[in-house]
Amino acid sequence: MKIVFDAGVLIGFSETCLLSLFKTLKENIGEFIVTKGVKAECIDRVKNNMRFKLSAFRIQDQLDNFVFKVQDGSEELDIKTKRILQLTNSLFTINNRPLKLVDFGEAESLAMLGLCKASCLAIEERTTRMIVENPHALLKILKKKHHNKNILFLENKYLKFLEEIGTVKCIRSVDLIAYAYENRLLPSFMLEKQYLKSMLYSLKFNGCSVSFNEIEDYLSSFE
Amino acid sequence: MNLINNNLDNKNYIDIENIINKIITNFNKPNLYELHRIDEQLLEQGIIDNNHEIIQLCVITYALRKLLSKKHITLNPKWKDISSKIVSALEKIKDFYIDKNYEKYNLELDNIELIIKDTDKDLGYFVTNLIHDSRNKLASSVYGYGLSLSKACSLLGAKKEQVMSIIGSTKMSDEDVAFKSINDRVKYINKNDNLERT
Repeated sequence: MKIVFDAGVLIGFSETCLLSLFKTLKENIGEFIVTKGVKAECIDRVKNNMRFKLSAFRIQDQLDNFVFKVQDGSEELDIKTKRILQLTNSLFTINNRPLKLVDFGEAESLAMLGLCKASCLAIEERTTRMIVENPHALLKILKKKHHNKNILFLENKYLKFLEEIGTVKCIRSVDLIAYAYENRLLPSFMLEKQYLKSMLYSLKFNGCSVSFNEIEDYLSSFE
Repeated sequence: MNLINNNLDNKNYIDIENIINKIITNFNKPNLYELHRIDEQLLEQGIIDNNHEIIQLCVITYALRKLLSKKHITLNPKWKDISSKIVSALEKIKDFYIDKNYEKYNLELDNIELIIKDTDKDLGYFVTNLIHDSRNKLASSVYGYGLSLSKACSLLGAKKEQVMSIIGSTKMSDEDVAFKSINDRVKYINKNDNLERT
């Protein structure tokens, strides 16, 4: 299976010192791909900032060791990215004006899925994930946060968006760690349930969009 | 007409002149609650309009509120001069806005940001910068409003790493309805990986 990674999952793994697990995960799952934009976001943008330089070095190491393939940009990618950006940023309207929800980086990762025939997007944040999987759930959040202003979801735009990206599934860092745990791909000292729990919580506290309930439900499935 | 920036085709229906007057009044009082209401209003409008200038004014208002909440800053003998400079800069921002001089309007916004940065560096306790912290915190709020993480960061000029950490400390993910469990997603990976299972 091919997985396109958004910057958030790489940052989450780096901040929790779990980056070394990617090598084993890749060997057992398939191909891990990042766009040039994601590379720039994780490395180039922060490499001169001492607060994040270590994280940039760690992620660069993953690229140097060919754990991730950095997919070159192309005219085709640019055109598809622009189409996806245009569609995602007009899926919802507020008082008849399009609500711009998604940025270039996420749109580029979505565009890359179709171009490299990947069917899975590894993404930490909820908005893009909800647009792909459940836009009605996102509509509820938007209505709640914007105090039920006149917010509409345009189904016809969504169908066009789905045509662009094809059938896509989303996973998060916590799902990859859970997969590694279940398949005993973790180093032996990490195979304790308490270790798993601490990894899942750590990823959550570092920004993975997962709830305490989800984590506890998952852990209880081993009891 | 209440257009704020030089992109005149950008429709921002918010009374900026009135908002700046309110910022000045509530900064002088000081009324932190009202300043908070103003930064919330600006944030919501900035999101709807996808407008960096409104967001920039929001960041300034938020950071001013944070400065005012720190006694070690407001009780410092230097504060009187600093607050006069801030009010003077806010007055200039208002005048430039009224004159539709958007270039100078933006330059003055940068100037007030610099005053806040210098004040925080000189009198604050933290090595992190108040403006950057404000941007990161507000970006997490923008994410809460339903914008993507990258969009929130680019709108605020915030660092994704730090915004993710703030988001991780909030209840946002716990308030969302989960429509797929970890088990569901692991099953999907299991179904499509290279592992041979007996």
